[in-house]
Amino acid sequence: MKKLTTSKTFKDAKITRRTFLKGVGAITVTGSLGMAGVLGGNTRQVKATEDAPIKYIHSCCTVNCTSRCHLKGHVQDGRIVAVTPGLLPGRDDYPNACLRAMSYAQRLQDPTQRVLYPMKRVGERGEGKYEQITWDEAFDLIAAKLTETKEKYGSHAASFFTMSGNLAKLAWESTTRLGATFGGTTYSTEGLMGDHGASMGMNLVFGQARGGHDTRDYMNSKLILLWGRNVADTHTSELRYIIKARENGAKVVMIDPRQCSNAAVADQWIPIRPQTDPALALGMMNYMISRDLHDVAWLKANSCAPLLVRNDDGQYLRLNGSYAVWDEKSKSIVPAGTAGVDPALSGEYVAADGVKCHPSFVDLAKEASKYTIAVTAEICGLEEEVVEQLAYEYATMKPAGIRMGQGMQRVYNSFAPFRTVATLAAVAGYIGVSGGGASHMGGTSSINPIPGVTVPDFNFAEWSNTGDAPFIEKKSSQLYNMIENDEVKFLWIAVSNFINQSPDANRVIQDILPKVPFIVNVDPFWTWTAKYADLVLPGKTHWEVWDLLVRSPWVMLDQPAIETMGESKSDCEICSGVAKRIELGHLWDKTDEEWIRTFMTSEHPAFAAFDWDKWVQEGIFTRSDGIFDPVYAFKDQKYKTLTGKFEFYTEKLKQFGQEVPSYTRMLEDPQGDLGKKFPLVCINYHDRLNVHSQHMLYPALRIVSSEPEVQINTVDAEARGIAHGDKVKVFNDRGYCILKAFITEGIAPGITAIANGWTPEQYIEGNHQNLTHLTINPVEEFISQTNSAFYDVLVEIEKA
Amino acid sequence: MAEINLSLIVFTLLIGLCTGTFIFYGLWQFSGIPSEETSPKSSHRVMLLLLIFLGVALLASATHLGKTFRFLNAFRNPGSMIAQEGIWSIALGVILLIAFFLTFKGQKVPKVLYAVGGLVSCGLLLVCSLVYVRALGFPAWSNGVTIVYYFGSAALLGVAVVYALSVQHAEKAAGKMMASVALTAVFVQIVVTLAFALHLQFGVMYVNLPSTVVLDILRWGIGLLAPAIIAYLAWLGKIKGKSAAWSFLTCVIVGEVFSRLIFFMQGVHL
Amino acid sequence: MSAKQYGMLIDTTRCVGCQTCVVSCKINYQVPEEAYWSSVETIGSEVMYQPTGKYPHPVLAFRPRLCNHCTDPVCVKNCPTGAMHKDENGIVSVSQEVCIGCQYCVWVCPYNAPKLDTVQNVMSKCTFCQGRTTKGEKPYCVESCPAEARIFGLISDPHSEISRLISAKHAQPLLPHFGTVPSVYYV
Ligand code: SF4
Ligand code: SF4
Ligand code: SF4
Repeated sequence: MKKLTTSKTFKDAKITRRTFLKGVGAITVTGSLGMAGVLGGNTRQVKATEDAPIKYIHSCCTVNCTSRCHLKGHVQDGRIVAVTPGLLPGRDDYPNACLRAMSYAQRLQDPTQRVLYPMKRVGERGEGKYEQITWDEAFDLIAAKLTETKEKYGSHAASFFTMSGNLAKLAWESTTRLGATFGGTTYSTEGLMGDHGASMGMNLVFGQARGGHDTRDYMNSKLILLWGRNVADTHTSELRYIIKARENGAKVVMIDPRQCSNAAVADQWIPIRPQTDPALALGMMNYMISRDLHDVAWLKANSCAPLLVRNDDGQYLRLNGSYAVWDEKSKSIVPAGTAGVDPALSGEYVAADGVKCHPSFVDLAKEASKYTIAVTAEICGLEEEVVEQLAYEYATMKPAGIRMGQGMQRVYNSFAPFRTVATLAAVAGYIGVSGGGASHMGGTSSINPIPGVTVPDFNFAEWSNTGDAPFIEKKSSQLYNMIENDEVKFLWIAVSNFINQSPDANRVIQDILPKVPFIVNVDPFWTWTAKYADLVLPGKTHWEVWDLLVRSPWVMLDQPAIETMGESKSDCEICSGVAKRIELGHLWDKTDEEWIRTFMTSEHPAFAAFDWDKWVQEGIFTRSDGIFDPVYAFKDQKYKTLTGKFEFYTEKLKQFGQEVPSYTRMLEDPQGDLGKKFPLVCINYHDRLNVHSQHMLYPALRIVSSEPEVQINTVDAEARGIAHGDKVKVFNDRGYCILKAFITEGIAPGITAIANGWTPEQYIEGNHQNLTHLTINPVEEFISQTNSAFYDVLVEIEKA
Repeated sequence: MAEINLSLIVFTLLIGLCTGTFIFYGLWQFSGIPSEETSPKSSHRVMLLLLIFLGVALLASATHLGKTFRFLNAFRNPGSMIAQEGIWSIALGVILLIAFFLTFKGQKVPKVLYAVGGLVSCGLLLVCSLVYVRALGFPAWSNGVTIVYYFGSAALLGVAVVYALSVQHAEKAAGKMMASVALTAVFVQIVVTLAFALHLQFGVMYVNLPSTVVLDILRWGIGLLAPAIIAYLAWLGKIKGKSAAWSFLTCVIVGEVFSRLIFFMQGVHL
Repeated sequence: MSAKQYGMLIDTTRCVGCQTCVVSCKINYQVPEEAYWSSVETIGSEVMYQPTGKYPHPVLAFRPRLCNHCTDPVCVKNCPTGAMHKDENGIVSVSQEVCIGCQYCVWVCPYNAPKLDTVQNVMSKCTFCQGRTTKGEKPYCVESCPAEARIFGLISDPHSEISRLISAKHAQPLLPHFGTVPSVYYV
């Protein structure tokens, strides 16, 4: 069997230096090395000789799944033949490696999937015609373009854009660092890619973007609400603990418009309509408050609930700079935090200057009171009994934990879902309580700070020094606008299949990208985005580079496990190559391995036992200050908000009428005018076989799913004469895609869903991003930046 | 899903033809109807034909193996029905060869050879059907009815061939008598087919069988009703012996091919 | 049960249908082309991932399948060549150099477990990860299951963890009336 590695294969396959890519559908190099073999599913072609010894090389899965698993690669003859879970010292129960990690290791070793050489565009953008050039030519070209851009338009006209295709330190940060050292424009990426609503919501109420309970803590829960979080598919390493908690007696409820994988192991599936999560949370709050089931003591002690708000301007009342409460004992307004007071949660009071004021809880209760069971059920598309039972159980099955997921925040006003659901947990008094919480990921640091130690744990100083060039960081939500306003003359895209994962692809391709004179794309694979770049550079994956990933209390290592595919280079090597040509070589003078070695030279006592060779061999280092028992956030009831409390009342949002959590209808409302033309909501969920576009099309995964499908309820399908497996066209005013229909009872009528990540060549035609939109949201821009509302999309479907 | 495999259709059809013909040819000889003079020569040709049937059948079954040239391995586990098929086929082959050489030398085939060969044929039919009866993965086949199915089919095929042979010698009385035998065989096969249909309808659990309405109509029309009418008319003397026998044979063979197509289409694995 | 017999306990109430087990086996054994030694089915449904029942109360549940390594394996009994055999650990496997690819083992197996290797034209099948389990490692499908839905062990030992769980959870084999005495139990 022919061995398909390295440039040798390239020669075997008789592909000359001038290699062209054909057609929009072609993501691979010409016919002789076409996809046929790969699509034929012949994994045998990559089989190493049977008797070669197996070496184990470890890596960390760096795709943007929430888990970041430690992987053990079985390497034979320079090829990864198998992937199994790597150990997590201190946590025997925790090792995990899912089908994505396994198939990815195979996909990246498939030369027909890879960009193997620096390729310069020779056809039209999108046509896919490229010519192989040398690295020197590529570096010179970029250097010339950067210099030209800087001279003509200033260095900020050079943009360096990344998403989350590789979360390891060097891979993820190099491009941004190059932008910074050059003095260009870099981006905070969460908005455009649609994860920022969660961060904003968390920040508003908790004062931090992440935080939650170790999943094992649900062993202490009576009820677990998986709210928009399909743990099975999107935080796979935690699934086992949900299952164990359920077997331990906790009731598990899945709140999701789709009957997702996790619903198969839940006690109840609540098919909520997209975007109505805040309404459900408010309805539950109202149920609790109106029946005195809310935790008054907790709210008084730990939340902004008693803080007085001025009736006139909606700002917190201040007494000599501090917040104020009404003390029921002394019947007076006193500074918040005064010892021995009993703050009121209701009523109206008059401050010394005659200003009327009331506890902020009054506003929350008032907002919630709009959401009776009937109203809530109507909005959310649920049966009233379901809402009532949920509210009752949540209030009474103490403690109840909520795991929140980004599924509910890819909507307009994306900060509202996390903010409102977390507030629900606060009203129930579950925040900072074992078995409770409203968790985002469960990203609580598992490190026990060693008293008196001030040295940093990693030696990132040199890497963090980006020189003195005046770079700027922009909101990614503004990228489209900036390009349309001619502010971007050079665009470097890395660790991102930008077109496939950003909204409104037709707009991007027709209006946005044509305004950028020069686009560089670094990627290991021939993505949709690569086909619109002027220069495509062969990047490397996490199995091919030296890199570092910190997952406290562990520090994991990526290292080269296979022979170099073609002439690929790591992101850091590529950035260094360019840097040397634009007089930034002094900031980029290390090899990848040298950087990693430098990072690991800390004086921190937790690293006293660190040994490089052992680390390389085992792939993981465990800090001596690690905590291995379950931990959870906000146990100390300290919040990094302005009030220092759990803050559901945000005074700065008064101007938008959003001072307390509230529900707003969809921008593309099925019950509004647009709904007459496009009656179906189309969400874009994350599926079991891929993280974004990175795992698609590997043959072994075809048994799981072989092409995109649109899930549609039987009722909607029948109304349109659509049968299971029919070819259908999903469309709206922005564009369309053609794919097969998957008819199911596992989705609410009126809702449709297409899995995220499939790329145009896997669709019969088009792509789901032709349907999505980027609508700038003023409130989100005020808070931070707009989050792409990928699920706030209306479509119609017809037989194609 | 359905397990349609050309070599298996060829194999089972030829085995049915071969065994059925041998049995009924033997019975025919026992009956003493054929004239003394023509018999060795015609028997010789019949034995050659049966040898060819058997040989082609075995070839067909060997080619359906993933590793044809390892076919000898197939005898390693005699307990297996596949191995049994091989063993009984070879036994029948040996008997056919003996008969072939005897008739070549102008001798008559001794009755004892017909008797032994008849038993071997029955044995072969039995193990062939047991291959399917034991196929637990295919509920449509894995049932005692399959044995009856096999014997019924072989009987009809054998009768049809012997019917054609009998009219070859233009023996009038034989023609009328064979027409009645043929009519009986068709009747038996109708009962067998109904039994199998009932089994498919009510006896098969866990799998959804494909609908075969069109094939069923063809099978009944060409393979059962037409031969019945032909045999009846021939018995009444309304059609000539030769044309009756040959059209009867043709219809039966076509019908049995359809029957096998239907049978294999029901091969839906659990 | 006296002879040594490995077995598996599969808890369908834990399974989320991710097919990590299936893919793990496929990739790590480089099972060729369309063949998968292990599979997952949606209980009660012809179409994978299509729930049964009606909205808003559809039922979604999965059942992983693999060779049952039966105590009385019909595949072994009916294999003409003896290529299909049961070893001293109770593992049923195929000697590919003997197999003639007649596929009869597939016919007789009520579980459709043996899979034709369409590259070499001989049978191939789940080996209960012989090479791994003899070293004390878990089978790939067991190790990779994020739901811990699969438990592997010695079912011939009444005191083993798996035997204990089988009786505690009242686990049952699939289609036991075929009489092959499967070694894979289901909850
Ligand atoms: S499940 Fe099938 S293949 Fe496996 S041992 Fe039992 S009969 Fe044999
Ligand atoms: S395919 Fe191979 S293992 Fe299966 S029955 Fe035939 S010879 Fe035996
Ligand atoms: S890996 Fe586990 S959860 Fe996933 S399908 Fe297999 S048995 Fe089920």
